[in-house]
Amino acid sequence: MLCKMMRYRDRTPGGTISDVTQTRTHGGVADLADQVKEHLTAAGLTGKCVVLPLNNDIGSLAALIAALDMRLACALLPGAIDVDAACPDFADTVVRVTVAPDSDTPEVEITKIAGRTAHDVEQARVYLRTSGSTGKPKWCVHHADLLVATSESCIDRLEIAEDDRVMIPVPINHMYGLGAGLLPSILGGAAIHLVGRGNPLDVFQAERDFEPNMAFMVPSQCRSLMAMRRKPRAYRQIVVAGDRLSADEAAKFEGLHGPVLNLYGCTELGAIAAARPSMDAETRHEFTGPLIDGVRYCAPEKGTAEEPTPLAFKATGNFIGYADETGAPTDVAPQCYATGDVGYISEDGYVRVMGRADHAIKRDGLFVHLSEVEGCLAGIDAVAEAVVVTAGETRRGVGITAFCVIAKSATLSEDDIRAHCINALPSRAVPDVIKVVETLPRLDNGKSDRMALAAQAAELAAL
Amino acid sequence: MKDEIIEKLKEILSNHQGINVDTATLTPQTPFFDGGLEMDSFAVVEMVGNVEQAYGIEFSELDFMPENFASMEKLAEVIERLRTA
Repeated sequence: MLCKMMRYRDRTPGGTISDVTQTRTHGGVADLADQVKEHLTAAGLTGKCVVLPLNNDIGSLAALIAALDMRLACALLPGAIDVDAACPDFADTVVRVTVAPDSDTPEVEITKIAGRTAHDVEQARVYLRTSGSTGKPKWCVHHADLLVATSESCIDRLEIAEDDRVMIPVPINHMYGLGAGLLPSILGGAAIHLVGRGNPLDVFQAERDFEPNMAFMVPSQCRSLMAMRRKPRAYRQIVVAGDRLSADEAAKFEGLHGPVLNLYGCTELGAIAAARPSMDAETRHEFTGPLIDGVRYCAPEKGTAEEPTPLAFKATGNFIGYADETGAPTDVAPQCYATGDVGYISEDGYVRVMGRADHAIKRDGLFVHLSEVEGCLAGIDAVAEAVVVTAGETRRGVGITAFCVIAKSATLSEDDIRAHCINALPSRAVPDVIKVVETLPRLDNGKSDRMALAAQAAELAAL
Repeated sequence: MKDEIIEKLKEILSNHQGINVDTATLTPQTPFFDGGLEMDSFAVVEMVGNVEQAYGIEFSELDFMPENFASMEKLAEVIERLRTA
């Protein structure tokens, strides 16, 4: 179906799909996908589950379109990942597709993983890894046909049109890049530019090469872009998801780039709420926006700004449930899914997300669990005790400050601790401030006084 | 002058908060990104700020091209050009 639609799009001029090395028409990508299908069929993969390591490039897109069109079950992973280590047990075949810029023939690499036997899984399923940074990886199982169909709600809300030029510098193996960015842009017939690394250098280059009028970003990218932007560069709109820019940041970003549309979603439900382009700036900065078509709010309370409530939603769409590494279902999708965030729904039906319900925070658009950072610090032999608190704002998101007590007779500098964290943690989880202290303040019950440490951290962050 | 700039860049990178640089294996051709230092957005922003401060220069957006920031060698050429402009 996707291939058919993409060919149809070739009847309208301008709708190209490009990456940093090449530009094709929608129909040209469909032709590549059809050739990939022939390879997959010849390899006997019809009715099987394949693993697709995806980069933001034309080859990966052809692989994805082929798998969706063949209604294969497919597990999506980042292209750079060690597939042997990350591949789920329920799949035994990895498909990688590359396309040379001067060729109309895709190179299709189909690799059987030694020692694996594929489990039986339902067809037309898309498996997405949850993006949490701790715990066992879980796979969210989506119905592929509905994933495509519900993308149409995003086309309507974001008003994606054939004359739009959409830059996608967020990974297409994640729900945001796939379900809110890529699929709606394909179905809407827009010109699409896939950017592999989302750093400012690549975004500036993409602006020169592609001249986008719309982009999908996460707040950390917006902050980096602002830090290096020398003069305004207008977009029709920039969609921001993952977490939210503060109102001040959003206003500053808009001054340089045009309207920011906040989008709220999760791997399980996809896009839940998003701003409308017609909303006024103040409302757009404060709220995420109304619910996407097909999504209903289902928590018992609507909450208020003063008393936010755990947010929960029901989507008519695609989320089937979770699967473990063997592909076996572990949980059926709940009728009413609690996202783990707290916030409220305004009288106008706008969603305001105020933070995580647990002690996780979002940095670079992804979760960081403070307990994970503390665990890393406690794992250093010379660290006797460590407490991690949040303080201030950084370009990554909420700031992290770590207080460490060094074991007696040990020597360890703050730089040593930082070096350990850089090696052991994802970069978003490395504390912004590391402070070695003689002792930690205590409560009467002997526990460390986190409130007092948070106050100290706020002072340090303000320096 | 280019060699001096590369030495200075080595110093800037080794003091960089967001990346771990092994100065023993760092060469002028070590890629800043894939297969090298694996810099992320923040590392790029920090490096740009540190370089501009160290040399009293300001990059233009046209300088912000991936190939100009591919390695110390490439970046040193840009810095040299901006210093003599």
